[in-house]
Amino acid sequence: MRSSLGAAERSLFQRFLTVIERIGNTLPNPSTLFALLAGLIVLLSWVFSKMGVTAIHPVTGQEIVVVNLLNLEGLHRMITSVVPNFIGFPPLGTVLACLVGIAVAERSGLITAALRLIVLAAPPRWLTPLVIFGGILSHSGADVGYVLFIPLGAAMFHAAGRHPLAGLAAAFAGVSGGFSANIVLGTIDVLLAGITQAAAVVVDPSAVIHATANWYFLIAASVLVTAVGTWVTERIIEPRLGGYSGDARPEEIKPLDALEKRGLWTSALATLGLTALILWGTMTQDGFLLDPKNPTLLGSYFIRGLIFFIFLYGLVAGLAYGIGARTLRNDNDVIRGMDSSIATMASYIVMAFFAAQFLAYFNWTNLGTIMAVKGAGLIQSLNLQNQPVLLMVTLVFFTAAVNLVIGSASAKWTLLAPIFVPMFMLLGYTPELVQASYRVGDSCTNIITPLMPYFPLILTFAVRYVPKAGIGTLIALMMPYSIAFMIAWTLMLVGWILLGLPLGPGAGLRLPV
Amino acid sequence: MSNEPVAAPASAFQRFLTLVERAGNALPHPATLFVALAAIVVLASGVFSALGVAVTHPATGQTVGAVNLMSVEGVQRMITELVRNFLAYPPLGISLACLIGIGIAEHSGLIGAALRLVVLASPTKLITPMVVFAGVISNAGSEVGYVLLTPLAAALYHTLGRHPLLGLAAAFAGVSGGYSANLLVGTIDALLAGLSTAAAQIVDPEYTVATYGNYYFMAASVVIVTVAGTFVTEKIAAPRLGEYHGNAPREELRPLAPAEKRGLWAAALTALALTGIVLWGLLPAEGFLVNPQRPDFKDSAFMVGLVTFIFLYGLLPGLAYGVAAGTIKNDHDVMGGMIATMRSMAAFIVLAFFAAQFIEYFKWTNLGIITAVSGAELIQRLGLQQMPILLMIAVVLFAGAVNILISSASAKWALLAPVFIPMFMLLGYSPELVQGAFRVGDSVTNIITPLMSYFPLILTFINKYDPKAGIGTLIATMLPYSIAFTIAWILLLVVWITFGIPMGPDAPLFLAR
Repeated sequence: MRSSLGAAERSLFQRFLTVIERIGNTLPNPSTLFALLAGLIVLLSWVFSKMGVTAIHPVTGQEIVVVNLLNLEGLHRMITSVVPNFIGFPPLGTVLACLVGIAVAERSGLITAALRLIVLAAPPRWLTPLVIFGGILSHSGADVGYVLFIPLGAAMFHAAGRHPLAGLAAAFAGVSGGFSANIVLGTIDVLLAGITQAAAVVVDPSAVIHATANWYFLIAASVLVTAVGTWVTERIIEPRLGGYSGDARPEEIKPLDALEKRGLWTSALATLGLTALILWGTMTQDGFLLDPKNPTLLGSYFIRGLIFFIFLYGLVAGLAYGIGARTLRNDNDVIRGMDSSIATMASYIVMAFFAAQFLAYFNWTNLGTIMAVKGAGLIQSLNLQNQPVLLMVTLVFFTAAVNLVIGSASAKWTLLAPIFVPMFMLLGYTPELVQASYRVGDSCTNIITPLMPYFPLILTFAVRYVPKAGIGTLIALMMPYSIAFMIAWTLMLVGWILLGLPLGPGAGLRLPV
Repeated sequence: MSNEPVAAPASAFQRFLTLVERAGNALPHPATLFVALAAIVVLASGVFSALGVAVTHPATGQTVGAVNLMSVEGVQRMITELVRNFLAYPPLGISLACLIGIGIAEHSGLIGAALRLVVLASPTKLITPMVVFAGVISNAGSEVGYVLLTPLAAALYHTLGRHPLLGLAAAFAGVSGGYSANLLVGTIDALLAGLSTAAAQIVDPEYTVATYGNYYFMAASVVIVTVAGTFVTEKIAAPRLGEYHGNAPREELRPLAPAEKRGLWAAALTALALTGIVLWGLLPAEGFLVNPQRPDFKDSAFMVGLVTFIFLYGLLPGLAYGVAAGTIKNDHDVMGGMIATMRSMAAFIVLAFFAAQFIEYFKWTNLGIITAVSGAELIQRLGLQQMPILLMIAVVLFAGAVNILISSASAKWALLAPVFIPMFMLLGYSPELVQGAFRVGDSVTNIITPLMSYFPLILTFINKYDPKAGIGTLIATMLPYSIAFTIAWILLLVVWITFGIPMGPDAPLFLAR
């Protein structure tokens, strides 16, 4: 890197890095963390039940007492519920089911080909926004954005005679900094909705949180992240990086060959066909996806079985591409693709096992509900309950800070949702709003924390072009994006709240009184 | 695999098995096969419901018709139940939870070192009967035998330098083919006795079938299954499988290093301490693992939460070994071991996803119930009433045939008991005898039906050693066991009836007149 930071700026920055690194290194593996927290909950349940802590449930008016787990009954419950807790962990089944389908789109090469199509078809002036936007689109796959698209972004900038690290940064900003922005729904939406719902039923047992909960907000965020990311890349990053004088030879970005083009056509047709089928099932009178008792789109089997359709879209579009482009020759190729995508979820499954135990213990003790009721009471006593902007912005910054040390979106939300979702619901705010605020904070700081699981991978990509690049280089490169996203996205959230716009289909900001 | 006969000319039976294997393996990937089977079930449900096929449920007296899944309701059900089917599939949670713990024992090196110790110390002749016997006994702890014993036996034989599939087959035969045989009274005994009691009371409202009603017969069966299983393993399966030429890494049979010995000592002490704690919790009447409401062993927290203890027995000794032997340095090593094990289970998760859909669809159609009830009525009309031995053999064979479609013992007995028990009671035979005959048939075909819910798991274990093995390999390997068990077990039943030996304490063969 040619740019040099000012001395004062560097020392402050270095200190920031050291702090992050130190906290990160003392933190155990997320799975260990949940195992320890589960133990802590058992102890806390004993302490608080001895202290006789109680709260009045504002909805039912019943007294909630802390349930002690440090006794025979608690022990038996923990021993006999390991498997039900694990299987009942809200996002586990849905995520795996979605991924079995999406795997086909990913492993057939459809997602990569589609991204290349977009980027190659564009005039050079549009390269930056398209790279960022491509990064956002890659969210529908599991890790395809990190593994395939970020190096592609660097290669494309390099091929266009621009600094490859600028391309890497732009793609990384789109994939990771814009983690919560999306046009199409993906596994992360399913995952978070599951956790939110589990937290929301504490207050309202009939609460249902759909994967579409934040869809409108996420679409708007896609535009915002693309615009802001483009501005940062072209106005801040590229002037700082200057021209590339390294040794790496530009890789040629191969144009799509005839087979790939055919694959994209068949895939597009198959996707269209499936969409037409769904529209026919939901839009026509007595459509086969409509519930005669509640013939609206929200009550339809399309929304109720959204997981099935995410699975089906991935499968159908991927199969059509694979057959058209001859990347899938037989059923073995398809199943192997599913196997390898599920294998990337291994660490998630292990984490889910421990997080599920923690979450179940936490729910048994009633500690989350009591904390939510007390927290809501505190906010009311400070007379802040009608200050949604202040409350949500605080939540955004709080999440962003936690995100520096706990990278996984689902791990963090598993910890935070059981407290914040019920608390804000008691103050009259929807779970969808809380989730949206959380996701803003969860995205912006992804790109500047070395604890983000893919950070080391991105660093190896950077080293290909700049052998001397280290963690500090990458963080310094991404810091402007992080700050800009944080400001712009928070402002968008504030605007959204002030205008009272819905966050997704049927997802308002305030609970009906 | 040595399909081509090398030395001895293949017998007609061996050639038949090879044919079964070829035919089975010519089928597509198992996951694809389950998708195809699910589609066939949907089609068949359409056909049979159009034909208006229906039977009267022998227990409830209600009419049970074929449910058509080729309908709007059927499609809607498939859409909304996708994830629930997947999660309701019993092996999923049990296998993953057990293996997360066992993963530590494996990746710390404990299992490898312990296997070498066993192989170096014990007489190799006794290993096969020991494996089969352990498989049979493991059924007292519901289904953990599948998860724990089959992979362990495969690794053991591999370490011995024998074909790993041989060990896997011997264990699988014991666990699943010898499903009903046992020296301990387990959950399944209680379940079946309850169903038998309900059926017997149709004839005699005073009659009760005790949980230990088949105890003598099932204890003798342990010997029969162990002998027959050992015979098939050594005389039929071993020559057929030949030597192992695959690439799976094998534990070298070198003597244990000092660090490994230290690790084994630490692991043994930990396992001993854990066992001490478990016994302390189980043996005293007020033990902390005893359920105060139901103080039976089978209702204790230990038996109900057995998976938890399998997890702990893998985790704690594995940890002790790893720390003492220096293979585990921090919690990241521990979690890394768990994650690696989960990665190896990815193929099982994909298979489970599709198998679960198929199994649930089949349940929805009622086709299994209809087959069982109409078949039972057919046997009733065979006119064998004067030949008890032939009639009993017909029950065994029929239960074995139905078992290919409905693998759950209790689901099957719920249908068959109300037909068979009154019929035999009117002829003077005790419900315990009928239940014993049923359980023979219920066991022997478990190992050859892809509908048995643990079949995909066993297939996943096989693929570790032979990536090309399919359903055909597994069925062809297990078919000789199935046949041998059927013959040997029927002979035992004939001996029992001929000599009038009671089936269990207070359970004579014939009703007092």
